[in-house]
Amino acid sequence: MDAQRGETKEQQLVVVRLDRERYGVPIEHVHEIIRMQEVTRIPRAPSFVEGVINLRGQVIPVIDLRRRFGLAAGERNGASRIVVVEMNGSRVGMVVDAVLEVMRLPDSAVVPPEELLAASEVAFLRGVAKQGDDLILLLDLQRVLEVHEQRALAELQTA
Amino acid sequence: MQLQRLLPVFLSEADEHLQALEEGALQLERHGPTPELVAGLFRSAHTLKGSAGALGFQRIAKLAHAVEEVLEALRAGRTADGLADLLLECVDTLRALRREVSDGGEHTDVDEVVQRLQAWKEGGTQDGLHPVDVRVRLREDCPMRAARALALLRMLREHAQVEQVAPPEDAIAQGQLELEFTARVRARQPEALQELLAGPEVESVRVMPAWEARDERWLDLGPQARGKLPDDPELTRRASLRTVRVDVERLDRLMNLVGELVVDRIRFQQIAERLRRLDGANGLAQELAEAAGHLGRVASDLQAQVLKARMLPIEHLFSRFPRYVRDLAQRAGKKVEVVLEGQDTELDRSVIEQIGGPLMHLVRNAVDHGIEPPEERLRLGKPAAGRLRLAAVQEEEGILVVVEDDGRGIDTDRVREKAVRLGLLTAEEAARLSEEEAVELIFHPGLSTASQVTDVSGRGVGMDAVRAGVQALGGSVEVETQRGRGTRFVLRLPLTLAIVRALLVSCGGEPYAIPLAGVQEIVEVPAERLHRVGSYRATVLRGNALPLVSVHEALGLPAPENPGRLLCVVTGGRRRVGLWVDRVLGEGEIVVKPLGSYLGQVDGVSGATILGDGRVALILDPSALVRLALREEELAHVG
Repeated sequence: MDAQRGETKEQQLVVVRLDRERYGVPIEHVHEIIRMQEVTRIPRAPSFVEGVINLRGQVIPVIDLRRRFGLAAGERNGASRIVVVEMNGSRVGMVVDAVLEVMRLPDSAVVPPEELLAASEVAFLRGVAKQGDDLILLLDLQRVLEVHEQRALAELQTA
Repeated sequence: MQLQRLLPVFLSEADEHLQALEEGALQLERHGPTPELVAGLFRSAHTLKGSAGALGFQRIAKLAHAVEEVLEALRAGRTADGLADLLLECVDTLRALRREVSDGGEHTDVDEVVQRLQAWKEGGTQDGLHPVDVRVRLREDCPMRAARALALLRMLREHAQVEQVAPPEDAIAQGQLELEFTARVRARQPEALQELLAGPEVESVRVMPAWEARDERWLDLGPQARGKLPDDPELTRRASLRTVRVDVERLDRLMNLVGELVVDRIRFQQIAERLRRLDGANGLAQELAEAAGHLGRVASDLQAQVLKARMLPIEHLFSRFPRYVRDLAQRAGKKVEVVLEGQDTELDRSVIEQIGGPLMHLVRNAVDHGIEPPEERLRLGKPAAGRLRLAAVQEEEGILVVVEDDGRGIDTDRVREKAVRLGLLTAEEAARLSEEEAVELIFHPGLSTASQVTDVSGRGVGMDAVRAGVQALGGSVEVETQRGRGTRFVLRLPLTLAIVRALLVSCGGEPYAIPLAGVQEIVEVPAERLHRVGSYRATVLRGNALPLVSVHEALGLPAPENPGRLLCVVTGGRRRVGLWVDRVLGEGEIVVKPLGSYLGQVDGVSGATILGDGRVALILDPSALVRLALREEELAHVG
């Protein structure tokens, strides 16, 4: 984010596809990437929570990133993946349409999301990067995995 | 930086020292000072001061040092009046400081407490008299020792209150005196007594603080205790490690791995079974089955060992109660003696964590409502101090934790009255209840013979929460009471949370696990025996109505086409519900996996487990299901 004394600082991202957009997930939080598997439903969970899966003996929750962002539900096919991220000591899986690549970005290429997008679209983003003609939307995982919001949603649902 | 590495050790050792100081202060209050007690307190304060100072925690070191000085004054003869309270306050302040070390913040003020400690140290005793022992040794050539001794005692009486003499005065008068006698006195100026009694026939006069005299060894410890750590073999023995501190997270990860082994063992057995069916008597299937069997035995053993590693002596929990009860009793103006038994009984650490709340509630009830004020107790012929007993007993199936008081007992009349007033029962029904049934009413939600208190999470903490909490662990709560004699609560707890015997069922094509403790039976219900009551179904089981719901209804999931043919009767507390299931898949031991903090509390589900084929099955919570199902029922009635 800062141009610092000519030092090139860069970040590494896992780039995933949701619908037609490309999103970047900071690699330090990505635990692993697995294929879609059978998900056990959880009652009374917010709609973007798919359920739970068995990850080598650990039961972890899985959310549908498309529904999280308010996009229409997508078609699951061979390219769909679950990106397992680790944040604040807990692991959560996020369903994406496809995983495209791992890339390095210089910090200087990242600009605040407001510069290029409308305010309503920046909710879950911490930055945007241009790569040629494409835009990569950098995810703010903290916001994406915000628990309070989710709990409030859950409460709404049981009411 | 070094600090990061040393910090966790400092914090857990500090907790131990603070616990020791707290227990010591309570001992001081109840039984008065003894050399061992004061030496122990001094050691704790001294060690805490040292390690805090080394890491730069100046406020802790300053307060610990002030406590040291006060203990020194105690050792040198100050009476212990009011010290217990002051020490407990210091412990609280030190605890707050310790929290600041781990959580940050700098607002706890030590100067005020330090000043009060110093004031105590300098202040006199309450009536200005110090209790001391005066030991007089007469010279061997002293003629008429008895007469001399009695004369000295007379002189002593003019300057001090003589409370006791050893050997007793009449024995001395009868000539039963060798060379020494000791008088326990209370004097305004103990130092002056030495000179007073000195004389030509007196070999030596020693004046010591009353309790110090009991153990001569203490005097030798004196100079050492003043400046540095006493050379104590006990300390060094404790330092040699027979135990290792293990992070709870590591244990949980071990548990996960063991759990996976258990799952794999089941898979191997299933494969062996299928292979046998394919091969017939083929030796390969046999070999696989044997290997799987061996793996199974090793896995079970490993499982048992890891589970044991998760166990903690219940002392961890019980040790908090003497202080808690003391403060409660003080506030309520009552006297309560706490008796702890079975402290080294071991429980799974998560069970210990979760019964803390229920136990505190039961103890609070006992002190606030069960035990009578001292005057009333004396009038009733009971000792002024109430007796609260906390005991843990190991049984084959699990652990019993008992909370017992010798107070008033539960007033069943008031309970019945309240039930009628709340509309739970009619007056006739209430009158018809037996004593045991009336007592059981206290567990009914909404009925609490005290004001409803909510805990931090906002949930009501009533007897119903106590029972629900214990049941969520797979345990149960029973109560016995006798008017005027007291009340006893018995909590039955399973040995471990992590592995539970459960029934596996299929509902709407999905597998679910129900802990066996909550399953009463499985029945088939012919269509004729189904009744419609309003908008839902019920049946009659052995004369009692049984509401029926499908698992999906209870959980709020969309209902499948065929709700099922079999009924699984689950119990939650005293009520029952029939759950529709398609099939019973089996019964066995399952490893309980938490759902995790992201999902939070899911109503009706207490966790998840991984089946032999790798699928995740949700573990249903029987009492929650009953509650959810019956709530639907009530809503249906209203509608």
